[in-house]
Amino acid sequence: MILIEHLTKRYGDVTAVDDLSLAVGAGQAYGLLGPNGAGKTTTVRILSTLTNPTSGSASIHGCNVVTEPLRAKKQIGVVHQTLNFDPELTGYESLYIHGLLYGMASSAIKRKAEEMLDFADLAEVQRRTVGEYSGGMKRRLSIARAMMHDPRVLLLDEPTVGLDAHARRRVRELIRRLRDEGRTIILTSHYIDEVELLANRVAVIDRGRLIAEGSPKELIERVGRVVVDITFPTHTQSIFFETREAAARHVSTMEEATTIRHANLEDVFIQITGRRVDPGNGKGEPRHAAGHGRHSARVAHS
Amino acid sequence: MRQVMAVILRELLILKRKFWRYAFSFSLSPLLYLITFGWAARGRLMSNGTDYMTFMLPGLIAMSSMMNSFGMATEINISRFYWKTFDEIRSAPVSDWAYASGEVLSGMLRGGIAAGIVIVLGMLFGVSIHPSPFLAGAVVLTTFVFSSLAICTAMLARSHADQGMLSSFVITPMAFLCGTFFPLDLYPAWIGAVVSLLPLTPAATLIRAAASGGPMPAAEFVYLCIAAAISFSLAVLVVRQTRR
Repeated sequence: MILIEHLTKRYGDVTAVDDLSLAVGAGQAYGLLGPNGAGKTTTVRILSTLTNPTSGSASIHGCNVVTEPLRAKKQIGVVHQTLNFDPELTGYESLYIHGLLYGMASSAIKRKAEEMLDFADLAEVQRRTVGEYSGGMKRRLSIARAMMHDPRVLLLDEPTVGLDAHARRRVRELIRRLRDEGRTIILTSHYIDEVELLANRVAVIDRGRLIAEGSPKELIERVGRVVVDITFPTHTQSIFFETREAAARHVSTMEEATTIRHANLEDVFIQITGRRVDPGNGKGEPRHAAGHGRHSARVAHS
Repeated sequence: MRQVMAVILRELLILKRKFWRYAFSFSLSPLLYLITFGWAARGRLMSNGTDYMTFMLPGLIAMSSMMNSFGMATEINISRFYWKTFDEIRSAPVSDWAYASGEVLSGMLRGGIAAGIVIVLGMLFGVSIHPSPFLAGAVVLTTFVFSSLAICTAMLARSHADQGMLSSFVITPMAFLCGTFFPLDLYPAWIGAVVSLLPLTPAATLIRAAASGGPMPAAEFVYLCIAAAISFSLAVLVVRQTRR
């Protein structure tokens, strides 16, 4: 179990993580969702012992990450946001050195490295230097590397950032397989679909603070499962409904161009904060919540 | 021990892959010094009757050992600031002393190879030295001290530029002033006194004594042993500080 209690991290005047408390159960795939600068990476860096918190505590299976860092490190595998490989080493050598760093015996390293290279579909290129790998291959190698010492907890910090759609799909497939094995995973992402697909519990974080928590389904049901987007010349208004029938009834009374769709975690984020998770992925100005409408509907504008 | 091996293995693999590039870089400066200083002063005798090339070669061994073992600082900074591979070490259950030991041994390896290259170059220039365990020990001690100092500076540096400045203002003057090319008694007394405190001075004296088959200068040996203990302890402390 991962327990985060009143965690705060300040860099000078900037508060990156603000009194964050979370509990992640064993075997859970837990998504930290939020825009850039929300405090997701700082939280992962604290959990991976790379950064000390200003106050509060975090523990992994009972090991405090500040007071017992060596014990905590043995329990976690980390996929850093930045691809950190020596370009002169081969994929196999990178895994071998990682195994040694975690105190594994040579025979165990060889066996596990082969298994992980197969798992990441990199067996054929294992003798190539990492400098020759594509971004997607490096990402898959970083997941294989994080799994080398068979950690109980996997910390994935933006594991698909900067990848094209095909490479992203392959990395997500690897993560999905690890989740299905029952591995405890903490995944940070600002890709909504990624968190919805991979996480069975989600914390929505904004400006270092936890603003909502639950399963993707629970969070979506809080705003309404179905959305009607009404397009006006100057903005888009979103109205949330409990059922598709209610949404359809509402649309039938309207003359404007409308779209009916399922609500997603982006809608949850916008409803709570009035901003998009990924501003670069939006259609224009940030939307903002506008209170509750009729028919158990809620309204947002963009 | 496995963690120490991991750090050294990484260095060995990179060294193997770039061996000829490293060998060229390790030999270029000594070769230029041998050509410029050596040939220019060929046949000249020192006050004690020694040929200048015979005097200079141990100084070059000391200088090359220092510069290339201290060069670990650049490698560490590249891994910290550019490749970010230091984060892998930081998030692994590696003790501070194990990481420092691995990097020191890697630096010693580089310094040792560089010293070997200078010895071979000296032979090509007709200068032979007296190979002995004493000479090997003197090089080991020198590279240990400067590898440890390399870790300290690499961890304290906040950028590549910091590291470059330190090399320009500390290492380069040491390379020329510390009895490598000229005996200290040529300096005014106060400069000689300052220079004799710098760690390359006893290293050059020790290597020169070993290379000539002379007796071990006890004071320099003790100085370097103390410097080794202090610099390694500092390296471990600074690594601890940086990893946090």
